[in-house]
This record gives sequence, C-alpha cells and structure tokens, in this order.
Amino acid sequence: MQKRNQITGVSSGVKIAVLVMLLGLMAGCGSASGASGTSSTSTMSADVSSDITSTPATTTVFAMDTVMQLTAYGGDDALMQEASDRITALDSLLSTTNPDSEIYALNAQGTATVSPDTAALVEDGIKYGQLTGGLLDVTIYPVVRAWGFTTGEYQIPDADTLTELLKTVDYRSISFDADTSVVTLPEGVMVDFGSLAKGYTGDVLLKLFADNGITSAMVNLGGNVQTLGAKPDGSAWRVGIEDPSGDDYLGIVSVVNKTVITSGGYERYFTGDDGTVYWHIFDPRTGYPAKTGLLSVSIITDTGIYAEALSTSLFVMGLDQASDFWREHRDFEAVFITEDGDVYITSGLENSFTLSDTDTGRTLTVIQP
Amino acid sequence: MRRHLPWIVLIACIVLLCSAALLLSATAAHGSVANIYQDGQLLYSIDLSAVETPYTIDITDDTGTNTVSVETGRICITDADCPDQICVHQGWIDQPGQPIVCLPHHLIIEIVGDTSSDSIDGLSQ
Repeated sequence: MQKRNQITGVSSGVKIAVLVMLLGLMAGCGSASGASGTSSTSTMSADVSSDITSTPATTTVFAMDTVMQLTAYGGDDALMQEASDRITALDSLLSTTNPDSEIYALNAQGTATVSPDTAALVEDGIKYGQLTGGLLDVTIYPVVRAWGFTTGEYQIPDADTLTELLKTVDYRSISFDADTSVVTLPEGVMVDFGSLAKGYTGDVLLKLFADNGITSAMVNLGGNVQTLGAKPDGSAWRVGIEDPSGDDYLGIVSVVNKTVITSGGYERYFTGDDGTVYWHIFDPRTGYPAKTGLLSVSIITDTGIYAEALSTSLFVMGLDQASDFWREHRDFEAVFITEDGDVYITSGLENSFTLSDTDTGRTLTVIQP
Repeated sequence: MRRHLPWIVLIACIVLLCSAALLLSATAAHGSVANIYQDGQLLYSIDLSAVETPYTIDITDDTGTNTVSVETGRICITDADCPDQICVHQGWIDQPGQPIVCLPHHLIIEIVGDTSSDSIDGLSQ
C-alpha cells in the first residue's frame, strides 16, 4: 500500500517535470516556427534540409525591362545569387540601349567580337530565321525603332520610310565566324535579340539549377514560364494562359519539365490617330504589325529559346499556316486565341489543357495532325 | 513496467505536441497571405483571410507612391504615380500565380498559399 503511494508520488513528480518540459518545448516550437516564418517570407530564402517539399529558395530580379521570379526547391541563397548575377550579366551583354553592351557595339560599329552567350544567340537567330522562313527576323530592329516601340514614343512611319528600312531587314545578311566569334553586319543592318533573350536566359537558369542538383524549379521571366521537372509533390505545374481581353487567365496547361511562352498583341500596343491598334509583333515582310486574326499564341516545348522563336513567328503566320507548321514539325504544342475569342489547341494538349470555369462558353477546337 | 510509464507518457506528449505544431504550421502556410515586396525586400505580409475592415497602405520610395487597398481575401493597387498604370489596371487579385507588378517602382504584390483547385503556379503572358 505504502509502496503504491510512493509510486504515485514519483509519478506526480514526473508529471510536473513533464509539464515544465512541455512548456519549454512549446516556447521552443514558437520561436522555431517564428524563425521559419521569417525565412519563408524573405525574398531570398534558403532551406538546407534535404526535404525538397519544404520552402523553396526564391528570388526576384528586375532585368531586361521586366520582372523575373525564380523558384528552386532545394536551392540555397548562394545558388539564387549566382542565378541573379547570371541574369544581370546577360542583360548587360544583350541590351540594345546600354552603350556598354555587345549588341550596342555591334549595331554601332557593324562588327564585334562577341562572348559565347551573344554568339549562341546570333547562331540561334540565324537558325530560327531559317526554320521560320524569315518570319522570325532578329534584324527587324530598325523597323521596330521607327514605330517607337524602343522608346515608347509611338508613331506611324510613312510608307516610304518603311520601304527604305525593310531593305535592311534580312537575317541572312548577318555573318558570323564561329572560329573567331566575330559578327559582321552590312551597312544599316541592326540586330535585337529581345525576341529570344528571355527564353535563352530561362534555359541558362534552368541548366544552372539542374547542374546544382535541383530537380524541381520554375522561373517566370516576365510572363515566360519555364519549369524544371515536376512540382515537389510530383504533380504537374499549372500554368495559366493569359486572357488577351482581360487580366485573368482563360485556361490552364499542366506541364512537367516544359516551357510555356506566349506572344500576344495585347502585351505592348498603341492606338494611332487613325483609331487603329498597332502592336509590337511585326511582319518582317511588310514592316507593319502582324494582323492575322490571332490575339495570342502560346508555345509549349522543351526550351525557352525555341518557344520564343515560335511564339513570335507563328503569331505572324496566322492560324492556318501555323497549324501546318505544327503538323510538319511536331516538336512543340500550341494554344491559339483568335480575335473572335475562340481557342485552338494542338492535339498533344488535349489531356493537359483545360478552359477555366469562367471561360467555358468559348469554343475550344483541337487541331489534329 | 510501471517504472517506465512516466517516460512513455513524456515521449507520447512530446510526439503529440510536435505533430500538433507541425500540423498548425502546415495549415498556416495554406492561408491566403499577400506579400508586398519592393526592390526584393519584403515590406508587408498580410493574412487576407483575417482582414475584417478594408484599409489602404501608401508605399512610397524615391521612385514614387503606390496606394494598396486591402479587403477580406483580396488586394489591389488603387492608385499610383507610375507612368504606365499597369499595376492599377490589373485590379484585384485573390489567388497565387498572378502577382501585381509595378515595374517602374519595383513593387510586387503576390499571394502565397491557397488550396483552390483552380489556382495556378504561373501565368504565361
């Protein structure tokens, strides 16, 4: 009897000790969760734990006239800093307006010895010019400038000016010596890799992440969404396709390890004195904004640079020619939104694209091979 | 066996408490929280589901001012002195994946965590 009492006595003593320890533990938990709260809301947070489902490393960079948001699960501050530095370096190489950039020097002098990044873009510019029959043309810059899209001081150039400027628009006039990395342009020809630079940058960033052992990442470079692998829980990334007539998205495409890049007339445009809307996507054959009945083209494929090249050139092609281009190549998928508000998707997206709930009234057509 | 009982109770309590803490922090992460960043620095983190009375915040730096309006479950920029007004035109946001960006002022408002089945990870535009 007495022994039992003794045990009870010990037991209540332990209970008090447990209570004290629990209180201590709760305080500890409180401060720990506070600390993790701070790290998850900071712009550059790193989680060194091996569990990639936890808070990702993220950073935001303002570059190339846009905002870039990078998310890497399992990344750390050092990796985000490296990525950020890489963006800044590319921006200062490729800018058409920064007097210290390689592109500025090339346009001003007609010839320049370029770094490997610029060389890669020059080669890609020529390659995708060939692939698209010149509908992607990196020498369109003098025309874009004449319309005021480089400064925001928009104007409608007269027909004679455009005819004159169009004589300089031809990507085939770029000469590039791969051995010496020397690029040469004929008199009057100017290049701008703005239509490819963000896609190239996205590819560089995802490769940097992959080289550092990251298996799940997403970069959003001003509306260019590029993904590495799947989400940490293994599910696909859900990428919204912007509604050209509003700020919401009209559909969602689910992707793993793919890039989703959209070109739309709604991105940059002005209304002329004649009441016509002029946007920033030009037909290199006419020097005028491409009006082919499309409001936007989204490309889903493996690399950012290919998606960029195609989103611009398929917009210029229009729906019919773009559908034929897809049938011929089949190494990408596409979403087209027409001026009538109809949505066309290539057949490879049949199971991964869904119209959002509020847009189910739209006509959705599947383009067959 | 009776001798070990207090220790079993202690361990059980610790396990229970830690599970509860984990569960709580996981639930908290799924709330509708708006984060406001300028130049990459977090200025405000607002739990939108906990907003009872709508209010506004003026965010000013040497580039200019943005007026942010906060209501239950949603947030927007209602006024700004930036040249393009893109941030104002975007209107209210209530889901992740569609951040409001004021490029001239380097200001970003984004919503994090949401369990809505229709939410997106990114917007291709």
